[in-house]
Amino acid sequence: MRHFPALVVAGVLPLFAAGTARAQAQAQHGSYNLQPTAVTGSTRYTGLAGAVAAYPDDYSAVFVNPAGLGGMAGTGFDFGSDSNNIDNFVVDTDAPGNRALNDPISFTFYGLRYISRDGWGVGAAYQEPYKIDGVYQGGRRVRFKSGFRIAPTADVIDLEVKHKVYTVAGGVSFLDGRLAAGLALNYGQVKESFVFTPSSPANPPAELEGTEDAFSADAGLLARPWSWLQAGLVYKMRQDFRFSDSKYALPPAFRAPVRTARVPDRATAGLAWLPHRRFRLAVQSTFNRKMGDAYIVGSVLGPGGAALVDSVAAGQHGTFDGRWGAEYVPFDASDLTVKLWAGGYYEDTGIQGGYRRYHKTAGFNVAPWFLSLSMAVDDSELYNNFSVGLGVDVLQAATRAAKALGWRLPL
Amino acid sequence: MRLLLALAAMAFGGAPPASALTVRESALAGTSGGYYGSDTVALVPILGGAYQFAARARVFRYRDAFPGTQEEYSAAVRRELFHVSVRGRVGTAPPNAQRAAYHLARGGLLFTFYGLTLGPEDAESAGGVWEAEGPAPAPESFDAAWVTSLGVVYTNTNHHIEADDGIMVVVQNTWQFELRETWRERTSLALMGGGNRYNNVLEHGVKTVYLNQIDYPGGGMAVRGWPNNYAGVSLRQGLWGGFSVSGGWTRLSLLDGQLESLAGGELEWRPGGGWFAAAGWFHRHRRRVETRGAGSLSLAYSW
Repeated sequence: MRHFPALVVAGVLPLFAAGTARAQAQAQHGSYNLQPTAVTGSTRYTGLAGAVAAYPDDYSAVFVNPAGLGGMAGTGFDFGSDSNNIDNFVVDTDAPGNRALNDPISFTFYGLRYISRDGWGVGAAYQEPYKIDGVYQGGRRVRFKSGFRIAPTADVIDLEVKHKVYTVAGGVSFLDGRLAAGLALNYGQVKESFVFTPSSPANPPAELEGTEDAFSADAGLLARPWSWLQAGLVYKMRQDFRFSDSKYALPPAFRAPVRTARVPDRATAGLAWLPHRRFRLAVQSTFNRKMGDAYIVGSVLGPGGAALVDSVAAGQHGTFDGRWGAEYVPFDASDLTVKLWAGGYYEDTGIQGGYRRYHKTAGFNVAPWFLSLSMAVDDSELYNNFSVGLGVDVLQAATRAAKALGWRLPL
Repeated sequence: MRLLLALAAMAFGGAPPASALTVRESALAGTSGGYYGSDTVALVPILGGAYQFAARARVFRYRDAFPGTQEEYSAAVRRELFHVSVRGRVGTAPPNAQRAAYHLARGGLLFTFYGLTLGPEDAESAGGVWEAEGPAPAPESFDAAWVTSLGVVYTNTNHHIEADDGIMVVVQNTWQFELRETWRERTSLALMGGGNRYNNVLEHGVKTVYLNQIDYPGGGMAVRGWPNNYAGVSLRQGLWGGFSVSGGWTRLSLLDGQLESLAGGELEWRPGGGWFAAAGWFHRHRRRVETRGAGSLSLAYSW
């Protein structure tokens, strides 16, 4: 069991929402934002600070920009698997430089893409882009002159939130590879589980578990007006996972421990400068639509209005973020390719006026034989995201095997 | 129970044997009588050394620490390409008196630079692994005066540990890095380092066991506890008459805050005719806790 009473709020807040001391306690039922404002995704996506909409050259095109499956950002048949491990420190929101107990969060991504040389391609991906599973010590909100503090209690809260997304996508290019369009269909599932074990008989125990799902679609475009410039445009439809109070009810003393989860509408525009086949520089901006009242996961009001974990609700306004990423290929041979990545972005959480911080990202990819290994880091003042990716170039593996056996592949 | 050469071949590199089969047997015995170990490796190169397969059985026993033996069986493959060597290994260890079973999967890459030119791990195999257009570079065209190699190895070990409320799975993710400089194939110095990440917080109450599935420079004997990170150095010097010496030292920090120092060395002899013999000494020291030493003897033959 973790011993920091404010862990859920203080731990999740910097990553997904605000990291601000200005958040106010409210008792209304809103939804919370499942979409991280920080970069999480494939290792290439992390290393390039997410600035990949204009040149989505890996399986993550399936959920980043499906137009990348039209052949304007690489071809082939490959499989990838990436994990993000976030050193998510408990922070004192009044002094963000103070880091304590590390409560790591992990995300996983898998995908497969096949892109022909004839200008069309398909792909499928699985994501776990939001996952919290922990046992936390309870806390009670105490008001001080300078604001709220959390006093620890012996209550135990077992909390789990897991978001899964299954995506299939296809893309096609036109006009001799100068324009491409793509479409992706997403099926999402969110599981929420909350178990409260009180330390005092005066408080009732509580247990709740549920799963809700939603569908959405993404649409993307790629355009290459000149050989050295490529533009990308993506619209991603929102998903609502409706955990209604009537369906998931606790004793009246508890207020809304399970709330509607939402992935908001987003629109992304990016440009990639392609002066040389071994170098790309991209800039990109994403608009995240406002969320209304965005509760923080784990903020739970207990009997008598006491905060069991914490009670934070905060309006999340619409934001524009800005990011850049550069990709350099220092070595490219049939048995080994090396890529280097660097990037940066301003994260704007959008919570109650916003909380902005600059992230620096870097990474590399080494692809020997038919394999691929990638590592990247996203560094900010509050936490680090370490990303590791493994992949297989299925087409190259098949080609090598066929060559060794003396066969000729139809692909 | 450890041999720098076998490790080099299995984990980080080393020239592939030119023969059809090499079998190597090593035995290690502690001076205090508590530690015994053996390491058996069989290496088979195919397709002119482009692939190398290996099978390995590792056994050790701390007679004064737990009853029975620790056994680990693994199989490995190495694919040599012109610009990089790729290697993988899978292994398993049956349950014993100190823990339930564990399984491991390992992958690694090795890059070799001849001066500033990236080339094959074994220059002699250049012709067999050349993939580009045109004739393959001749082996003598590689400048072997200063050879730099960079290695990275990832090991995923799935430990099954008996806990109070049943079997607890501890996934140990180990990253190892090596930078080696070799001068005229005679003198070789390597700096090594690495770290571990675990799938969950190993709070007190998690059983401490002896582990020997990760290779450390100079690390002949099993380590007691959950490793955190390490730094080490390894040295190899060719002598005369087929003799050479190798040695290594590692400073290993453990999750419980303990520090362990591992040191060891071997005198190796290649008399010719496919024979290889080595004698060595290994030392493990944990300050104010224990110190152990063990001698090793190894014999290998290539057909």
